[in-house]
Amino acid sequence: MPPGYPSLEPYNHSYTIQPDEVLTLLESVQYDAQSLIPFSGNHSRHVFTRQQGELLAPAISNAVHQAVPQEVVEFSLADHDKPDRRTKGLVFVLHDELHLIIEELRKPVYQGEHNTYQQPVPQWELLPGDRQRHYASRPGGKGKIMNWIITPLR
Amino acid sequence: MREQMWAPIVHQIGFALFLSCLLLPGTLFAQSSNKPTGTHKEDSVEQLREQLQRIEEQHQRELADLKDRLGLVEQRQSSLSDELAQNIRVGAYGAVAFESFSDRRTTHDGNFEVLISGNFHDRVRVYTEIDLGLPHGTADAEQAYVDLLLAQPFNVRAGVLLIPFGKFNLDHFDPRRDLTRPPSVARLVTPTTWSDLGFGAFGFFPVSDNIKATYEIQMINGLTDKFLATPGTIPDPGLQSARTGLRSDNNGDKAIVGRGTLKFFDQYEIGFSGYRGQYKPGSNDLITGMAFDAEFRPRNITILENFVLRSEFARFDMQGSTTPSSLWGYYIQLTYRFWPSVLNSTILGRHFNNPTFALVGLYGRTKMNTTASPTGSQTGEQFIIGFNYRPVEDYVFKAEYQFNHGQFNQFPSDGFITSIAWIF
Repeated sequence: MPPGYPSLEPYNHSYTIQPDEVLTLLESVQYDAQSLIPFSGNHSRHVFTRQQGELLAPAISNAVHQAVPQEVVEFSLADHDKPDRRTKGLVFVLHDELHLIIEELRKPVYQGEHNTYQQPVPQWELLPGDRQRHYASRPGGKGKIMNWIITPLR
Repeated sequence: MREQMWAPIVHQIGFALFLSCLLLPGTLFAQSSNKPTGTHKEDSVEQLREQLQRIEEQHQRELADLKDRLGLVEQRQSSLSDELAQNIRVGAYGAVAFESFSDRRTTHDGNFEVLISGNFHDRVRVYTEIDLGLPHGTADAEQAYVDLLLAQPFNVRAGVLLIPFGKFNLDHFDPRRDLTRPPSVARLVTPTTWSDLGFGAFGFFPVSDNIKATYEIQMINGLTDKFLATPGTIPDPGLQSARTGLRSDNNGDKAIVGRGTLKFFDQYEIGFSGYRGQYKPGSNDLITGMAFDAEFRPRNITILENFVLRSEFARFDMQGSTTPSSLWGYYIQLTYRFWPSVLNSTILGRHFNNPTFALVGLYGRTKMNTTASPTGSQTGEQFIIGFNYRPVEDYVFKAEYQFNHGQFNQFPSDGFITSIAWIF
């Protein structure tokens, strides 16, 4: 796992998960983004388009199958309309649950620098659907990491 | 949700078919009185079935087409919304504090600052932080700059710049800090919040996968000689009064200031800063300064991951001045974040995803060498213990007690401060 995330190794890799299952999961993932004006209401939207889902699902299925217990799957997808915007994330399977972390969401690829201390970054959070939940770093469901969604596979 | 959207459409189609059957009986139920044969009836019913099937197939095709189009529209809407949110953002932060020191009356203090940022081109962005002037009544731009993003290692910044001298000045937002007041070194030596008009360049170099280097260098009007004006009656001690206040240069010589950092594993950061510039009209005397800062924020290491260590050292020397001739100071701050899970179901934790408590300890020293003092110098020492409660990351309640000693200090006596700060 990249620095900054808790290490949950070893993962249940290699793991067999059908591309259709991954596609269903990817298509269901939604996020909630802050709007231009504070407090003006948010709107939930799909993280992946169908086209992106169809592209990504077999690749994830294949990568999770090939991964070893110490590896996670990393992906990066360009936006269809705006190829300079990228969605980047991590996937792994642990205890028959698929973990999806979205690190960047339609973020312009170019960054003039590492973020300065005060440049505000667009804020968004993934919305867990049926049977899904956020990863919680503390007991009792506290310490939720809002860009990390867990989906049971069985 | 999408299924809910299509349900009324399907109902409408069904209702339209039903209406067409009622209004055009000749096609569905009409019987010719002079052709009563059973075969014709069966043929008609069969034809109608086929017709209905064709209509249904056509509707299914149209429905699928509409779904695709809706998906496309939804996707474009998402892209536009994300782009808009990335292009412009309006926010603010504020803080209100209650102070009780033994040598003065208790008081409330506070500040409120508006933040506006945006990109009017993919490679041009603006950032503005305006202090609305509470409680002194004068609104000021603390930052108002425009960036031209050319390449990772080289970008251009111009406008009202936050001075890259030490980390505290760059990362000074109240809700992001664990203590209400800045450490003395960041107030008396480095004159936080320190802004000036000028031009600069900044960039970022990935040294390796786990090491990143950044730099920021600026040419600004620079510090003035105002700290020398009336020794003993300076409104703000140290270099606070030597800031330009965004006025034009007092001596025509531009100052150079910059900071470079190394970041390891996104957890450990060390920074080096330097400053050089003339400060008096009609003289080549210089103010030179240097600073070192460090921040250690271990992650994924049991127990240690709950600690944050911050430290900063800064020094300025003034040529041709004896009041003062130099100033220096440092602080070291340790924060321990925790949350007892027994509080999850109480009012402090029930409604929040990630509430935290923090214990904070800070030790700092400052020294000013000046002939205005009979001993040739003034020193200050501070020790602060504090407590934080953050129900959410962007709202914090702080309480702290300060032990202050010496003449060169923000507060000459011990005292209690509590505050609430927020950002959105």
